[in-house]
Amino acid sequence: MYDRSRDRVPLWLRISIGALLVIAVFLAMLPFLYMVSLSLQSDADLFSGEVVVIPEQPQWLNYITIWEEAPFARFILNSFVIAGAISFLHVVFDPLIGYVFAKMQFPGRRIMFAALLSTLMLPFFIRLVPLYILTAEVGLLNTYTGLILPFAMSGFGIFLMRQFILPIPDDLLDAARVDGGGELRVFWDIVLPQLYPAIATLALLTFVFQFNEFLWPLVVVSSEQMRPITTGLTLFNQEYFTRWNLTAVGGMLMFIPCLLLFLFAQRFFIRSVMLSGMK
Amino acid sequence: MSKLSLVGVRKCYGTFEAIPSLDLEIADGEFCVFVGPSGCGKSTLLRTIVGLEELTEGQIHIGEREVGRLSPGDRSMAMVFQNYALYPHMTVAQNIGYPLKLARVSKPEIKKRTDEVARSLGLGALLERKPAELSGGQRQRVAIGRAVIREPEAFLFDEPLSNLDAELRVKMRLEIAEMQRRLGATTIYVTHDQVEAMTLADRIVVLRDGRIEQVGPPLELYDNPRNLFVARFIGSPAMNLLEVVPRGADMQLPQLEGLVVPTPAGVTPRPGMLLGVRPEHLNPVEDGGSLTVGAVEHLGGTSFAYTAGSEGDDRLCAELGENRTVVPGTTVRVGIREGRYFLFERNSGTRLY
Repeated sequence: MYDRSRDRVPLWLRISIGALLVIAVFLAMLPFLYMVSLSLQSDADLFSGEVVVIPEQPQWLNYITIWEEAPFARFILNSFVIAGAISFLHVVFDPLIGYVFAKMQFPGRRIMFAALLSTLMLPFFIRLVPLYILTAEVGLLNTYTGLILPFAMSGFGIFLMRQFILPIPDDLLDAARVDGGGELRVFWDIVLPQLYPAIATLALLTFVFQFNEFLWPLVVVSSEQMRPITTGLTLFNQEYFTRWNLTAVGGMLMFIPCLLLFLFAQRFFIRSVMLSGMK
Repeated sequence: MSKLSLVGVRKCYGTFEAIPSLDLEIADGEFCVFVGPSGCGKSTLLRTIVGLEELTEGQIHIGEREVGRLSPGDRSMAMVFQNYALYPHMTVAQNIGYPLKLARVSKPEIKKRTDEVARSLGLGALLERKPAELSGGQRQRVAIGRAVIREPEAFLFDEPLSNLDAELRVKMRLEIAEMQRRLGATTIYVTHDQVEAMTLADRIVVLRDGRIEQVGPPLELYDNPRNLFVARFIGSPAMNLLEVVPRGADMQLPQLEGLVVPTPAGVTPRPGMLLGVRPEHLNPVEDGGSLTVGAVEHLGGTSFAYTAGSEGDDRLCAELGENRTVVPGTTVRVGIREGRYFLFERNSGTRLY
C-alpha cells in the first residue's frame, strides 16, 4: 500500500525549509539591493570610508545627473539597436537553419552540425581575437554592423530551433508538399506557427544576453557615440575614483527594460519550457 | 480523372534497390489497392508515385502527362496519410481549404468549396475546431476533405484506417468506397490488411520486396493465386498448407491422417510439394482425415475449428458450417471438396495446380 502520511512534511521541517529559502533569496538579491542603495548615495557617502546601507538622504537627483554627465540616451539607443537587431536576425535565421538541420538530408550534414555544436563548447574568449582581427580587417570597428554581424546567428539558437522542429512529424511537411507547397512555403505555413513559443523564448534570451554584452563592445568600440550602456558605464570609471553611484544608476536603467520585456514575454517563455518538457 | 501508368519505375536508396523496375497501369476511375507485408515496398512505391521520393528511373504518366520529375504539388494528386497529417494550428476549415490557398484561389471561392466539401463529409458543424478537438473518424474525414477539395486526377491513401478502432475502421472503409464511387476517382490505396484490400479494391496489386507478385480483381486473386506467397497472403482465415507425401499416384497428407487425395492430371507427386486448401473447402465428412481440434471459433453463421499448435503457419483451420457440437480436444474427420485445392512447390513457391 502506498503510505500517504509519508508525503506529509512535519511542521518544523516546513518552517526550516521556508526560512532557508528566504535566506537564499535574500542572498541572491543582496547585490541588487546594494545597487539600489548605491544609486541613491551621494558622492560624500561613497567616500566616507564606511559602507552605507541605507543612505540618510537618498539622492534621487542621481537619476537626472546621469543624463547630463554622459550621452546616456545615446548609450541606451545603441543598446536597443544592437540587441534588437541581433534578436531580429536570430529570429529570421535560426529557425530556417534549424529547419534545414532537423528535416533535410544532404551530404555533410552531420559534420556541419558537429561543427555548429562545437561553437557552443568553445568559450567566447577563444574566438575573440580572430573575430576582432576579422572585424578590423573589413573596417567594421566602431560601427553597428561590427557590433551586430558577428552575432547574427548562434549555435545555441540554431540548436534550440532544431530541437523544437525535430518532433514535428515528417508527414505534416509531406502533406503540405503534396498540397502544393514549396519548401519555403512549408516552412512558413506549417513549421513556423508551431515554433512561436520557442521563437519568443529565443528572442527574449538573445535580447537580454546582448543587452548585457560587455566584452565585444569593449573591444570593437572606442568612439563614445557608439557605446552601448554596458561600456558606456565605464565612463564613470575615472582615473582617480569611480562614480559608483552613477554606475549603479546606469545599472538600474539597464535592468528596467529587461524586466519589462521579461514580464511581457513570460507567458511565451513558460509555455515553451513546458512544451519542451512534454515532448 | 485520368488513368495512371507506371513505366519501368525503379527506386533505389544508394545501392539498395527498394523497387526493381515495375510496370503498372491503373485505369481511369479504378480503385487499386497495393497490399503486402510490412517492408514490401508498397508505401515507398506510393511515395514515389506522389513525388515524395525521388524516382530513380522510369516514367509516371497521369493521363497523357509525364509527371515523374515534377514536384509533388504539381502532379495533380492528393494523398491521405496514415496519421491524417492535419495541420495542428489550423482549424478544420483552414485544413480543408489549404490546398486551394496554395493554388491562389480567391477567398470567397475557398470558403464556398470548403463549405461544400465539409457538408458532404458531415463536418459542417466542426469547421472552426482544431484537429486536437476531433475524434479519430472526424480527423480522417478532414484529411479526406483536404484531398477531395483540389479535385485531383488521382487519390492516394497510405494505410488511412490503421489508426482507427475496429468498428470505426469498417465504417470508414464503407465511406471511402462510397466516396470513391461517387467521385469516380482514380485511386491507389495502400494497406497491409488483406480484408481491406478484398473489400475495397477493383484490382489488387500484391507486392513483395518491391516486386509485383500478382495483379487482379480480389476474387481472382482469391480463387486463382499465382504462387504460394499470394495464396498465403490473401484470405482470412489464411489458406491451409499441408505437407504432401507421394503414395503411388496419390498424395498422402500426414497432417490429416487417413486422407489421401488423387493427384490431378499433369502433376507428378513428389516430395517438397505443399497442398493448399482454403478453410471453407476443408469440411467435416464421414470418411475424411482426422483433425484434432485445439480451438473452436463460433462466428454465429459458421464456425471454424483450429488444430492445436503454437506456430500460426502450421495450424490448420477447417470450416465446420452449422455444426456447433465440436469442442476442443475432440477429433473430427475432414475432407477436401473435390478439386478445390492448389498445389505449390515449397521452395520456389511456384503453383503446380
